[in-house]
Amino acid sequence: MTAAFGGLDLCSCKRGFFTLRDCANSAVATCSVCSRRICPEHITQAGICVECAAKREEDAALDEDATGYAIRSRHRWYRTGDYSPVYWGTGDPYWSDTDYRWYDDPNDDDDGGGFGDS
Amino acid sequence: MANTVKQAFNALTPQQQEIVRTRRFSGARTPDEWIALLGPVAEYDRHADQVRQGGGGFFARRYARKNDVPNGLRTFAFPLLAILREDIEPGAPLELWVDLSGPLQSGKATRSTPPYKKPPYRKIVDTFYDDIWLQGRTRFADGSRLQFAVIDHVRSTFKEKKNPRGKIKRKTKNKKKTELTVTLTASNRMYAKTAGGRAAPKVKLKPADKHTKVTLGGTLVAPNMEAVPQLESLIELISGAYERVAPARRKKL
Ligand SMILES: [Zn+2]
Ligand SMILES: [Zn+2]
Repeated sequence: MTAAFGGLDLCSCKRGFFTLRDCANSAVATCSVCSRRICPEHITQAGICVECAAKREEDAALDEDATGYAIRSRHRWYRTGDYSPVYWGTGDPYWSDTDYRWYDDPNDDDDGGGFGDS
Repeated sequence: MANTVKQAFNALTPQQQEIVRTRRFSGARTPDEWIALLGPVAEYDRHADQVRQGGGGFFARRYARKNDVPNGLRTFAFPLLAILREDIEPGAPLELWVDLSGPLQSGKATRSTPPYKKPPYRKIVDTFYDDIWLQGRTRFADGSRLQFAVIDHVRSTFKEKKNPRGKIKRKTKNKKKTELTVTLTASNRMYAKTAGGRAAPKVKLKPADKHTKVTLGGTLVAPNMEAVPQLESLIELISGAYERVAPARRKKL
């Protein structure tokens, strides 16, 4: 899943709290933990992406702005609040340990991929 | 000792000072615009609260008491912006109506009981107040629309009695409950209603041709008049609403 979609080098983080979708920003850095390509909004000072920072509970890296606060809260809410987000993004094994919800119909591919192409 | 609270207040823009003074604001802005407007107000309040709790000199403490921003902004409305910002359609406005001026105002009174007696009290009057202190409406990137409201319901009981020495004693006791309500209008192009979803005291599901309207609500007893519900209470209701619809197509947003 590291191959850029359509030749574009886009950020691999997901936007959203109740539902998840792809971040539309161009990537400028590589997360030193997950090795995914990340945009300026989703990379932290520590050189890791906000999603890895939230997973590792490195709150210091996240506290400063709205995005950091939201991603940290999101990570906690999926666990403590037992919430499964709706997934509208490109498939990414990074999310395989999250219990998300998506339309599961093998006959339907009206959007030309995105899921199961990894 | 420098009055750091006054300095912090003076550093705010006239519009932000107006919010601190009136404790009211409304409008339609993007989440980033709201954060830019309210971030410094929340920061001012954080500093004023520290000073009020004994972190500053006498004048700073007095200034902080007089120019307080109720905690509903710093602990609820402001962090909510960052959460909603994630799902709001890029460029779409978040309409907000915020009134933190407090429930005990004649304009917010809904009714009073006629005076009644209950020994040892010779006169009791209950007055009920409804205070919608936070209301919002916006559009999400998945095409859903979200509406929410936080409403304080207060019962204020005035009691009067005569003590054995003939002296009249009066007191007023207030009890508060906070109602939270959320309506998610999910487009049928994206979602279909589904069974299940976490329980909530009030659940309404209204399917229609173009959308499914899910309303969830609940009421929390407040431990005191200043108490503000946890932000998680509202997040819980929005989550419960989303759990009542399931994605109906495969699509990348
Ligand atoms: Zn990462
Ligand atoms: Zn990004």
